[in-house]
Amino acid sequence: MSSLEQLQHDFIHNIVNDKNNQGFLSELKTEKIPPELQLSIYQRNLSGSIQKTLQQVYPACLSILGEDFFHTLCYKYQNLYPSLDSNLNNYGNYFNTMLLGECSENTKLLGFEYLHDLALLEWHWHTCYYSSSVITFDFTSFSKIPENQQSKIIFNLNKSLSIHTSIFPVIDIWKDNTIEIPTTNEYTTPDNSLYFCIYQRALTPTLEIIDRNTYKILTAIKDKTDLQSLCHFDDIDINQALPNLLQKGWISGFSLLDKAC
Amino acid sequence: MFKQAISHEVCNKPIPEPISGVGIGLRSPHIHQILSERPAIPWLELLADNHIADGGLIPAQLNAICEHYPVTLHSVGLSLGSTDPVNINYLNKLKQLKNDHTIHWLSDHLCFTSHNGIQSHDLLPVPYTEQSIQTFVDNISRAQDIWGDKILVENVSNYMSFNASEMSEIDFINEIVSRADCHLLVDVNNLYVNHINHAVDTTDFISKLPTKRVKEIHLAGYEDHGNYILDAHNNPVSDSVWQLYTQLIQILPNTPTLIEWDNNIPDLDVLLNEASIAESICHQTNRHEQYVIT
Ligand SMILES: [Fe+2]
Repeated sequence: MSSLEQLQHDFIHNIVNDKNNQGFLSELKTEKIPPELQLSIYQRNLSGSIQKTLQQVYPACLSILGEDFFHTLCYKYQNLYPSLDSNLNNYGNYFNTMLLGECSENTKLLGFEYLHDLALLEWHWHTCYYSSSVITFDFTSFSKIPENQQSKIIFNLNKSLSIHTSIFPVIDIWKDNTIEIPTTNEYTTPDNSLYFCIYQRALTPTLEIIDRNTYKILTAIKDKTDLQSLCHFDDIDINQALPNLLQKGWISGFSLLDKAC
Repeated sequence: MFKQAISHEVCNKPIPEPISGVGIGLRSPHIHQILSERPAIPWLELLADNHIADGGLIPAQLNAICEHYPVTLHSVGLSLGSTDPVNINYLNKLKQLKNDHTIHWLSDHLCFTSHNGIQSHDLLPVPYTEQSIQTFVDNISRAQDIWGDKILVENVSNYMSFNASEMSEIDFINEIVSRADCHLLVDVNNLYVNHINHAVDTTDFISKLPTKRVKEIHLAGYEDHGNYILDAHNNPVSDSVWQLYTQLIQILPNTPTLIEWDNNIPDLDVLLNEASIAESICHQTNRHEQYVIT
């Protein structure tokens, strides 16, 4: 490793991990700004950017956890998941995973088990907002598929669509915590699981509650299940469901054998 | 060997009018107003990183902006001072924007932002050494090869001084831009920040600037932290920076200038007012220069 490479390695690691490595500090001149402050300016810049980003992505989690605890979690997240993308809009996708771990380990979070599902909702709402693709289904090519090939059709879901299920009333929790007025609502677990999807409609993120069967079909399509197998799903009439999924733009394309259409 | 600009015949695009006057950095809170009211702004600078990934302007907005205003690209992800190889994928995405729209030029910074894939989301300085110069020269040359034209590199604000540094900032910059044969973007606020934080001699810096290579000037506001100042881009341009700009524009008359404001973004009118102050400094300086010549 060249001396410049070593210095850059140490510089980045001292910033990301918020360490004050003495070896690195000895590389710095003692002048008007002392070496420790020189480094801490960069450390604070990064942790500030990360906090700001995660606050914007997870406003409901922030509101529930309170600023101080949320910032502690941001700091922990920064150490566990350093940013690998120059665009900060793409940062924060493992926050729900970290919250799942926190809920099982941290007694402070007893009763907050819904945070994982809530964070997942917030992440997809954020990425849906930033999702750029508006793809129209190619009905012309679709209509030309020979009958004997139709069973081999695999549908593609719209890039902006995410499918969710939760045993918690996360939509209500999310709505109640994304307004500025604090709420004291008690939340009750829904009798059945909640199914919903988030997608972009007219360039705006949209959340829609769906039924269990639609959830099942969308999940199967996401898992690349072919049309023949979809037709054999119990209690689902795929011929009835497909037009609705196409009309909503949730299915954006298809592939046949190895050909993408 | 560095290739000169791709000819416009190859791109099948008309040669754009040169940029002049004082522009502003386009920020998302102003996009709708700019598109609906079309205020008279000489040119706009787009943050390239916002438009090469999901989350930038929607294509129709980007097309409308590029059709109505001269546009330049400003990126933060080239990491030109990094010992990592230049990110070809990132550069190709920038190039795609250039192929799709009329982009006057691309600028990035004299710093590194990532190492071994880990992002700092900041403009990190390097020691002013021969090894750093060579790293910049290699990376800028590679970037220019792919971009197909000379790029502009910007002096950065700096909060760190390395024992290993062997020369002044301006000597370091001169060596890089001369050996890489690239253009220079002078950020006056960054110069002032380095003057306050590291006692950089502004007169020496300005007098040694390679004037023929300077194609753009940046102006922004800083934040006072007591024992240092931070290039926060969240304030109006300070009086001291206006004074330095007045000094600079005397040796760089008619250099396109840009107002940058990235945090606590105010109403568009505030930015346009800052731009008009810069315009009036340029006009006064030019009038004075003409008077002296006559
Ligand atoms: Fe700048």
